[in-house]
Amino acid sequence: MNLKQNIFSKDINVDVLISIAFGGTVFVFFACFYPFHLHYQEQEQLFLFSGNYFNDYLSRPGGISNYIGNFFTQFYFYAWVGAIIIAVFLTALQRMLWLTMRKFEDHNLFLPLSFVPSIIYWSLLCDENFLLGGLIAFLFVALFNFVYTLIKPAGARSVVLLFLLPVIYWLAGGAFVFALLFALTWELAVKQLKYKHILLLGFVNLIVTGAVPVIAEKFFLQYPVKRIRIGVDYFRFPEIFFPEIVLTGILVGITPLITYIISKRFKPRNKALVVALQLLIILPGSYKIFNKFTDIQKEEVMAYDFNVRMRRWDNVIAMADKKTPKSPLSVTCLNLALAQQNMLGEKMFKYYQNGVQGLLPDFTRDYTIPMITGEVYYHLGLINVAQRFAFEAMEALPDYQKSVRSIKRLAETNLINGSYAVSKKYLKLLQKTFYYKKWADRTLELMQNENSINAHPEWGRLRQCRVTEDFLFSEDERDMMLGLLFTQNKKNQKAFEYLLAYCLLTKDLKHFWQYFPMGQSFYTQHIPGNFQEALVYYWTTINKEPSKQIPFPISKQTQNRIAAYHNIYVNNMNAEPLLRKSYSDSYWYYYQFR
Amino acid sequence: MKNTLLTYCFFALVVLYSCSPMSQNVQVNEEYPDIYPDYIDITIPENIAPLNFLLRDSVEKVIAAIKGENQEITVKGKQKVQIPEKQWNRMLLKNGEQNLEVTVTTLKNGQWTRFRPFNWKVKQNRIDGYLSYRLIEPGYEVWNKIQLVERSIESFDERMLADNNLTEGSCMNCHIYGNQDGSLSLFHLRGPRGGTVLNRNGELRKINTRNSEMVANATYGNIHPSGRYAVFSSNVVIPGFHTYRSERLEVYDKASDLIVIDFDKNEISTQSFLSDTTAYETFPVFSAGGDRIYFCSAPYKPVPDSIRSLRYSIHRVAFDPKTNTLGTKTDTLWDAEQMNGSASHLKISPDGKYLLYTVAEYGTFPIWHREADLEMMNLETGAIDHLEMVNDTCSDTYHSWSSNSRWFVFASKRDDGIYGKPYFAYVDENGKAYKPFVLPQRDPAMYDFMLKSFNIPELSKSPVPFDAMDIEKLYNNANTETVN
Repeated sequence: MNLKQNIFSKDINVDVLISIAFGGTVFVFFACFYPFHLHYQEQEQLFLFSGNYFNDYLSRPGGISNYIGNFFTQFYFYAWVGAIIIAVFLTALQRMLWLTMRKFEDHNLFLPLSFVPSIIYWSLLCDENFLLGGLIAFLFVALFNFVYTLIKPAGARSVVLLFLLPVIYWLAGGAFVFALLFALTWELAVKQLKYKHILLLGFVNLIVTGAVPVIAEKFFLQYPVKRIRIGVDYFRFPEIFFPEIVLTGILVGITPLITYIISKRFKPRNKALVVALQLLIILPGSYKIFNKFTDIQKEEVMAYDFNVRMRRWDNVIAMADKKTPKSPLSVTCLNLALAQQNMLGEKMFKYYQNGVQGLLPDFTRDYTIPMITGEVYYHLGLINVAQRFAFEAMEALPDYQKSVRSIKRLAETNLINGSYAVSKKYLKLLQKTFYYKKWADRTLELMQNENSINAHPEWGRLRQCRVTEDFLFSEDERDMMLGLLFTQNKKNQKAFEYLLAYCLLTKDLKHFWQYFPMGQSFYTQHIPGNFQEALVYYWTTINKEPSKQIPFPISKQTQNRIAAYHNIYVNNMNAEPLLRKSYSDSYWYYYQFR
Repeated sequence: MKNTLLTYCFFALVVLYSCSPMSQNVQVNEEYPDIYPDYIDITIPENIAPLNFLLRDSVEKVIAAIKGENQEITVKGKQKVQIPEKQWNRMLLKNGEQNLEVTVTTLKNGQWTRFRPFNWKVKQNRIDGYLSYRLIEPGYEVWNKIQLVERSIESFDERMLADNNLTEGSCMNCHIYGNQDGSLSLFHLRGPRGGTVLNRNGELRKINTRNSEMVANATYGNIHPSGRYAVFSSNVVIPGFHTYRSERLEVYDKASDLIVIDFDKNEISTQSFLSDTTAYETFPVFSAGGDRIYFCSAPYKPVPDSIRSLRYSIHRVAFDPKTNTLGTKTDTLWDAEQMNGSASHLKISPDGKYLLYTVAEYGTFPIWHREADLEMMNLETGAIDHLEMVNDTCSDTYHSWSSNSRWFVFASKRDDGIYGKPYFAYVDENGKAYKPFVLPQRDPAMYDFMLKSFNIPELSKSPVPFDAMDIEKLYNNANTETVN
């Protein structure tokens, strides 16, 4: 069959167009509906342009696929670039499989089947823990399969198979068994070799496929046997393996033979029916698998986190205005954005609040929550806590990678603390990256001059906010930590407002009342609305003399509102729905009904 | 045509002239070159791997001339000086005790500069040929990849002794030797199928070294010279997190006691005054002869509130290896209140002459105390050497002796305050210590980009007879012995 002729034939133009449409759909999906998953992936690795980094990957089976995967993942810094990359790779996988299938049967009948491995991998990539390296491994296998069909003499093919399989193992790890699978199916189809020769070829290669990992095992002691055999990091947790990965590999290996057998045996006359039948299986299957691996709620959290990471506070608030966040991590990001825009006391109860977990979430040994919580501590001025959280988040990465976001944060925290030597170490690493190099260069330059750091709008301010006397951080006493931070620097308004917010969320109005006068000077013009509501509410519970005025300047509007609220509350058996309608943005509603 | 040829020849000569450091075109700089690691004027053993280094200043070329008594090596590089191993070994091993003079010449912006030469004093007193250490990120509570590594000091070869990749990600503590001998060593391997891994002549055992009366697992320990016993402290370890500036981690004990384990009988023994709640006892070691146990102790104080006033003294108690009994009285060698510091990590030189220990302002975890320094006590005279040539402004601790007592290794964070690296220091026959130098690496830039700390570097005269695969098998398949 003439490949050139195929490509330019009228039929093939249709399949090319369908492939392009598929790629376009993938691009639109990731660029428009799923971009923050890509940003998330980008931050959880540290791709370095250095010989040592490359050698490290080169020295293990499947490492090249991981290396190429990481290389491209760094470009997820811009989601649209990431979307293009994924679209191109998924389309390439489909095209290679299709071109290989065409070597078996020269018609478009089974075109939909050629999309199945790409669709499966597309859905896998919707889970933030699936890595691009796995797709690269399958691309290597698909490329091998296609090249194998181009070799005409059967003897040459056997030799190539014998010598190229170990190479494919080194490039794509354990996925090389699918290349072997394909080679044997091809030999069965072309029938240039006798069955016993095919059997022998399979046997010899099985020995090779078995021996290569064993040999590798001898030389790479530090890797568990399972990792040596699988090689490629398909999933961020190396111990977890999904059947969908094996399914993708098998389909890359045997789809051409299946379609060949079907068309030979059944000689289908109604081509439209065959295509329709395929679609009937593929479309519901795709729905099911996408349903399993996509998570729009996570996308929302990642969007909040990304905007916080980029200090796009307005975007965070705008997102919440559009749809109020419910998950603790999203609410944490929102509260931080409100604090950064001096709106925490005014508006925090306008949005859904889920207690302290939406203000300062507990520390957990994973790589997501500490990163987000660390942002809060960083902007509050608890620099060492932020540093610890960034470090712990990076250490918790199950695939032993380093996080570029953590490294950047560690460079910042050490810079703020004046630990220049260690900050410089991290900046030197970032100088070997693509997107962070300029930032690292600028920061290293800034480090030459202490005054420049002090004058920096963020680092200079945070230096002022730091604690002046040491204490050991206790997560069980977060309010006390915030109190110590504030009392050591009475200008740290954010720490004060977080302390008040902590009291409000824990419904500890007694302490709120006690603490408020300590920072009342921040509100000479106007006490923020939610704070007013808490003050006036607590006053009603402690004041026994109706003639006595609350000792804080509460606005007329708040006074009227609490009177109306009280009225509804005492005059309705089931007041909650009525109060929710008009007062869900008030602290009173949170206090009584949340 | 002839003119053109002459012109080419002239330019070729100019290029050649400017590309080599002829005496006429070399500027002399009286300063030492800014090299990393700091190998300026150091004392080295004759069996050390090549001392590769790099220039901190960005230069176009560097030439290092290493001149010994009968031999000279010239090494050229762009930024790095990487000495050929064969030539280096020949130079050091054939010529015995000698002084090597190193002259560094660099080319920058077309100008050659020759720096002030520095010296490497080669000692025939060898250092033990193997170094084991734990490679770990200097983190807080979460650990990721932990490896126990054995590195040959005489070359750049290293191999894994244990890797938590192979043992379900379990934490593993540092590897220690008995008699600085690879055939006698142990380390704690945590995790559901873990235990204390004891290596005696290559026979590996996995022992649960905690019985029901102990406050926690066996933690810091030392092996008796006979190999039959080990002394451990059992510590309830709590991490605390500083909030002030570059202060980072405070690890303290809520409780700690001393125990001795008889590995032949799998029995634990102790003395009530070493295992009650009135004091914290930790970092025990046997004397060189094995008839005493040295340890650190601090009177009970509530922690963390009183952590800054918690100071550990150095004591010793008799030990009878024949009957496995501890004495009933302790001597105080170093009084924390008098010395205004807190001692930890006791290590007695194999010749029994010196006690090397760390002194920090307070507490029991000096690796995170910038002020932590090494001190050396002469056990015959009681004289204390503050080792000013050895210590730096960052933490210097986690030390271990070479079997001939002429060298010790320690972990120092002097480069950046966070990442610890192994440094070696020479101690002459009069007990004088010399400027230390860091473990050489094939690529001298390795330390710049490495995000691991070298914890508890320990020297041994022979390699250990196991590797990471043996530990994987032991972890997964071997039964765990218990102690009574």
